[in-house]
Amino acid sequence: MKRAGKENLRGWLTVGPIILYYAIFGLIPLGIVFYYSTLKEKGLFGGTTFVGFGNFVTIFTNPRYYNLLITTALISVFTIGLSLIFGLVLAKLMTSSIRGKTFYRTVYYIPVVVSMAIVSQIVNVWLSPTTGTINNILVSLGHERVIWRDSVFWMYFWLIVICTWKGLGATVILFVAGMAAIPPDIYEAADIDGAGGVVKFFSITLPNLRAMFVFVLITSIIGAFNIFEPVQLITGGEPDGATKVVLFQIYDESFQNGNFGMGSALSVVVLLILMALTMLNMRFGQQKD
Amino acid sequence: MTVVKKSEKIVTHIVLALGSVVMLYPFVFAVLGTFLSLEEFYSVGFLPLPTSLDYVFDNFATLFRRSDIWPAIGMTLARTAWYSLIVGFTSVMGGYVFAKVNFKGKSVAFYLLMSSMMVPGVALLIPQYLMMARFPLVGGNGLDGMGGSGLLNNWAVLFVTGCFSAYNIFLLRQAFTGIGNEYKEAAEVDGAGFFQTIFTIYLPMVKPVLAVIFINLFIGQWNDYLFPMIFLSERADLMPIGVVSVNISNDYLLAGGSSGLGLVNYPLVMAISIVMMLPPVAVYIAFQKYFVTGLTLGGVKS
Repeated sequence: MKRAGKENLRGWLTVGPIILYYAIFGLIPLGIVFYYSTLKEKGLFGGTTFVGFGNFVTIFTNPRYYNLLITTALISVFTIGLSLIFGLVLAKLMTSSIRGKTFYRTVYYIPVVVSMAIVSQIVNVWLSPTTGTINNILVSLGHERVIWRDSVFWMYFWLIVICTWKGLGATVILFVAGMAAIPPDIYEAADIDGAGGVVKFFSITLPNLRAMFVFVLITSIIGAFNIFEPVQLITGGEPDGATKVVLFQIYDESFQNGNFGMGSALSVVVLLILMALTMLNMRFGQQKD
Repeated sequence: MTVVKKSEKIVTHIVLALGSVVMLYPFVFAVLGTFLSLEEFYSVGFLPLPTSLDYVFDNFATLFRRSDIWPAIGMTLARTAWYSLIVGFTSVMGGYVFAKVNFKGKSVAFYLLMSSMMVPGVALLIPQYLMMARFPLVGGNGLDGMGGSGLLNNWAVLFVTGCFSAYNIFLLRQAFTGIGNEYKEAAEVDGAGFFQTIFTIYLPMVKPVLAVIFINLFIGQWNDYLFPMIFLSERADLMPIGVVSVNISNDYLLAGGSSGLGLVNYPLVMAISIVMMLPPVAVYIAFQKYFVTGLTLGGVKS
């Protein structure tokens, strides 16, 4: 009995403060974001009015807002598609019996650990309209200079290239780990049946990677909602707001326009989408066991 | 058969090597770029090829003579130290208690804390900002949180959030669960106390997990950008390196950039990029085996 009491005391003296801290810095903000999503603010000192679900109605009816979700979705579809295709192929190559596998795995992961902001600044040097490196090359080849920021296509192109480049290494490492976990005797059995490499890839490797696939997919979507630095530093949301993503607008709305109500409503939309995806991930991840 | 295999291997190497070139290109470009003078940089093509070693020293010297770079690195190291200590402590204690101590309501407490992983950080940015602005009794605020600016633009704001991580608690709980109870029982027989058991017996056995936690904290802190940029918007002097590196590169990227003293100077943008990228890359390469552990440990159960 005394022992059980001691265990309870130890347990709660440790966990209690962590839960208290979580309540203050995690749950209170969660309450605030839902409360503020029902308010409209006119600048920092303009006062607030209660608008109920008004902000959400605006988000889903005004193209200025629902386009943010479409833009985020577009960028993530291309980024995730490219990452999955390249990731699977590269992981397959990196698990084959070649020398230097560790070297390749290391190299491909390097972009993951560097600052997205500083990568964006390097790209800015390349894209500068007057003195940028790519324009230097174009001019030396006899082409016209390209004003990248004026072109929706090129801004999307660069955002997708940067995000794919930056995240690919993580996808590859996860697929490598997933492929390493597939029991080799399945492949041996297929070898005896005379199955070729492509057949083995589609009938053994891919089905066995399902849980990892879902995990990669969902963490990539979560990652897409976190895209901020390249939009802020390279595109600025231009041209004409075409490259504004959700997080950029949350920032813009709150700190440039002072409308924390709309910023909060957008945050709630992100929150609900990502929570749903995380739950989906848990379901699929567990079915594998 | 062996001939086919050999050609397959060569193709594999070619594809992976080409990919490596793409992955490393921006780094190589940045490193070579620091060797150029501004005039040389104007005619740079795919690769800035250095013609002399005259400029690289000057470029880095100009950068390191700036008054803003050292305090920023200091602030970043201070944050890394603080978060390593506090997150390390809460993760070890939480992880151990959830793995080895049987207390009433344990599973409720566990799921409550783990639920925090479902809330994406981006969604809490705005409410945390509002909360910091209205934090009672600091920064001129009254008990009701009104009157001042709270913790905004106060150095403390860089240290109050994120003092525990459900993910790290989970990682350590898994690690401690994998270690038998016999150590704990033997320690009790020997009269070792609660903390002694954790820190001298169990902790040395989970060093790889601690390494993962520390490395991720360091890289997270070094690259932290959005949070400090917003929460310390009026205090450029307190910003960590993640934000200051962008301010510095803006100075050289845009004529008359954020601090007004700039001339377009791309070699210096490359120099600050190198300073910014080198520490996380070095840490990653030195500890890369832990990275794979960290990525796969808690993520997917296979």
